Amino acid sequence: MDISQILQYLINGVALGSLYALIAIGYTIIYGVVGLINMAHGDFFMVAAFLTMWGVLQYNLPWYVAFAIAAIITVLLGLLVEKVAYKPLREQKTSSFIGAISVSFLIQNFFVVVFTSRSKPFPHPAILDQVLNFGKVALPVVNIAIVLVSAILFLALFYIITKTKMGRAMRAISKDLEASQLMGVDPNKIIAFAFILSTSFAAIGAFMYCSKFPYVDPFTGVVPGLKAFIGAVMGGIGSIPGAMVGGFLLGLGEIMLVAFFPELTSFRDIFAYVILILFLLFRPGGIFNVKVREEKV
Amino acid sequence: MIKKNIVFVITLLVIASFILTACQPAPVPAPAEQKPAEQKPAALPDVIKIGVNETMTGWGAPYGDMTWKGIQLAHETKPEVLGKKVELVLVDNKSEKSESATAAQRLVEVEKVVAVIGVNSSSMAMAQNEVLDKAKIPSIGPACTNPLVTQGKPYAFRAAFIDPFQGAAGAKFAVEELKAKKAVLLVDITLDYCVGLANYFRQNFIKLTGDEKSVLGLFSFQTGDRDFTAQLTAIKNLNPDIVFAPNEYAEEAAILQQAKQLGITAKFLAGDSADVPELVQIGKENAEGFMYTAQFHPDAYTHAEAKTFVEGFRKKYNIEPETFSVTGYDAYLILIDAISRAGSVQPDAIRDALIKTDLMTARGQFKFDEGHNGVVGCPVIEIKGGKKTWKYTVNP
Amino acid sequence: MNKSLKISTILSIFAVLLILAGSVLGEKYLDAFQIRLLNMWCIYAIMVVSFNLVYGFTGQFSLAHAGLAAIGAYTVSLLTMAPDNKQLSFFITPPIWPISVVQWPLLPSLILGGLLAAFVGYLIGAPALRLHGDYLLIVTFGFSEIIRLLLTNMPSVCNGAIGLKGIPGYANLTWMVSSLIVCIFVTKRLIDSSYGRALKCIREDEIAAEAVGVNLFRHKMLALVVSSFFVGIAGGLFSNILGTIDPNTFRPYLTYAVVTMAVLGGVRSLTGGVIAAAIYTAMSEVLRGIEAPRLFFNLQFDGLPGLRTLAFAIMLLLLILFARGGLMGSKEFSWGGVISFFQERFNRRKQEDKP
Repeated sequence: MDISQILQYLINGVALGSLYALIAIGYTIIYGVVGLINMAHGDFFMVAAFLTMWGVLQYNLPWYVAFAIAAIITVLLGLLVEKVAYKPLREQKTSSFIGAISVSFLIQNFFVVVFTSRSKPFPHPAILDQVLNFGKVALPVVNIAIVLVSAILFLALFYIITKTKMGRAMRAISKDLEASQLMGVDPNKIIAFAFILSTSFAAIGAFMYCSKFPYVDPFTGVVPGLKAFIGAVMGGIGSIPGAMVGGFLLGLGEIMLVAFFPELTSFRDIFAYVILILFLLFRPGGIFNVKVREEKV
Repeated sequence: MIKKNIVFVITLLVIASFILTACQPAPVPAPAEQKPAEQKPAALPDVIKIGVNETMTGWGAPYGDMTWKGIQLAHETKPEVLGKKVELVLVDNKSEKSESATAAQRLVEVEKVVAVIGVNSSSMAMAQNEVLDKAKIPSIGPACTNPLVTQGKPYAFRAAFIDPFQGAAGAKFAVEELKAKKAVLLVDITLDYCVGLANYFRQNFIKLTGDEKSVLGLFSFQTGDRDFTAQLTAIKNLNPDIVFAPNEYAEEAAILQQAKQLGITAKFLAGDSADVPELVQIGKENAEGFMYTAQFHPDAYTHAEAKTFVEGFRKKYNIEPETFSVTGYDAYLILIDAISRAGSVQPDAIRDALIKTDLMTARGQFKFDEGHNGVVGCPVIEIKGGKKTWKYTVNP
Repeated sequence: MNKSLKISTILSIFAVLLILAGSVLGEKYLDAFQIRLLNMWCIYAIMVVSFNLVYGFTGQFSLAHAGLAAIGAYTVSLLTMAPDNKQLSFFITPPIWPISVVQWPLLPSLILGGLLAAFVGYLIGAPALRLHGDYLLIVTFGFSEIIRLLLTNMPSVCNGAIGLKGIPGYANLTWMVSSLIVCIFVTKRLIDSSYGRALKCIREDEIAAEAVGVNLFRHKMLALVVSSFFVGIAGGLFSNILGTIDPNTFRPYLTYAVVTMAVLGGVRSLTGGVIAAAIYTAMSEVLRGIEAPRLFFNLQFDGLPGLRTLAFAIMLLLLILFARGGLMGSKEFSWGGVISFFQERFNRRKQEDKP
């Protein structure tokens, strides 16, 4: 294996890892604040991508307008789901998980019924289809865009959670709910804020993901959602840097496994699950060793 | 103490009934249903019901949708047989085996259909045929190409060729027309169709090139994956003449796009599951030069029946005819033809008539071989200028 | 006390005999569609009852059902299939030695399938049951997916994605019903025993349970292993009525369907589970009507496929939001209940007759 090939694998691995990291953050924000595994996160992701596609295909909107509208609808949908389905279940752990599964099914099947499940092309700016060639190494523009967008979003997120009042309140809640309530933090407001952040990340992640892999159907969110979730757990679910690193490593690892052990490709997802289980068993705090949340059965 | 004894007795009873029932041979479905039909074969129902079991939702939905379009079109052209109206009864099997079996059973017992068209996907067709074979109801699968579907099932037919033929056609085209000497496989290993077809391609490719090592390797992925860059980078390094990638159309489009981005020059070849218009819409210019074996192409068949289908389809749906629509269309026509020749709706009569089918369909003169598989040609299609263009047809 | 116990046991025996006789008659006189639905009902009921044992009674949320059912289904299929049939199915990679030649009757295959599933359940539980809540469900879900992916990756053992075809359908309605009765019987006995009380204690408060000397791990494991055994049996029966299986049959959707049924019936009630399985099976057929194309005020509407699944998703959400106890809550069917129900009726009528 020569250097150009390794570079090629790296370019692709970094892009995939950044995508997983983007989606994984959505899981971790919600888990950190509410303690809920939001199984519908992948479906919020799908809604953003699907509606963007629909706006362009059906109403001939420019992609940025369609995306803006889709993102707003996704955020509103996230808030609605939180209010209707998650809030009443906040104290029941497993019930809230079942609630999340049913929301996920509901969204998927709603889209199947209304829009059919045929995969449709995802409209994206043409510049993202360009490829820069450096000798034997190909660098698609979309990969650069993914890394850039993720980097900017990560910095923005760090700014929000460390510098703004909302962000600090968010961290306070995830550390100690009762104490922060006593300090005058309104948990409902903060949780709504967390859902806005999480769904925005899902929307932007969906746009980048579907620009790279340009098609969308009602089940688009399932696999990336699951992968990102594994990444989030690896990094320590609830921790934002953890989700980034976990998602990133999982994406990079997926590519590198195929690169170095091509005959094990079909075992790739098995490895992902095994790593997930090993982490939960021996280091439930993940790479960053986050404090495990108190049980609220 | 009493409690314990009683518990013991119950356990004994349950186990005894268990063993007793185990010793009984499984009762064969009562033959009572057939007797009255044999006595007075002339009695026709007012409406002849034909069941359609398709994957309308779930992962197979696009294929089910296309097939259903074709069947509806055919139903419009021939709404009557034996002077009676034909009614189509559609059931959705959610792309699940157990649903497919239940749906088929429903068609037989509740809807009382005389025959069933379905299922496009082999996995669901196999579950359906387990049921229909026991009920002795003939079925025609539109485009299920896995050889296991009709194997050992005297009442199961299919209006398409099988994967051994399709794989051979693909290999023949690759070796003779494209002069390929080295091939690589890129396969979704969680789908039976992809695994099966790739296997037959490999066998035939090795046979035709006469070189044991002509297939350089098999790269795999799983349904739902969208990043194939790692596999493709490795494939680029092997530098094959041809990449055989018989996958679902959307994944195929992503493969083509990523291959183009990585600068792979090898030709890509696939099977009939790639023949969905969305492939070109998703792949855009990346799909240029992509080739696949298919069930139908408007240019491959120019006889009157094919024209009727193509024009009828364009008129009804305002889109270009789709591969899996033609198999559904043909399946319906073949079935109607068999019923009219049988002169009755008795399952055995329909089956015997089906065996003797020799009908001009949209894909030319159609016959079943002894395995109840369709003997039809396999057109090879290339994407040129964003259009499906017909290259040539591999005849059986 | 002793007398009423005796009456109820006698009634139970009678009911069991009646149901078994009914199943034999049903096999003869019902049509194949009704039999299939009854079969599916029994299989789902076994799965739900065993889910309730682990979740409703022990409080451990396990999502491994689909994987465990796959173990049972593949074991039973591979053991009962005729060697010739296997050679036909395994057309890419021939089967390895013991699988290529064995052919067993159903009963030992089912039991072995159940035992294997129980063993895998043990393997899953050994690490997973040390975890709690979210972590437990992630790990069990992971294991379930690992099993499915392993099946696709072992072509010489279970024929990979192609799956198996030609599984003999030995199991008739009587098999299904007897398996369900055994499952309910064993589960009920377990719940009513001192073990069962310990399980409920774990569900309510693990720390308190440990404090009073309940061995947490051993009890949770007992529940999981017993449940896995029956899920394996259900999987085996499932393969028998399908006649063909592949790894995609055991996607997590199967587990979610079981969860839906369990919530519908009430996770703390075996009776509820059995009723919910019946409702679910019936509903999926009844609801076909809303998907069909229809004429509505002279307007032809195309059918909307997918409405059934959507309806179930909505139902699950509404249940979990507004009726978490499900149909039965934690109530169980009991003869005492039936008798007092009729007595009340009787008394009321008497009172009505009097004036």
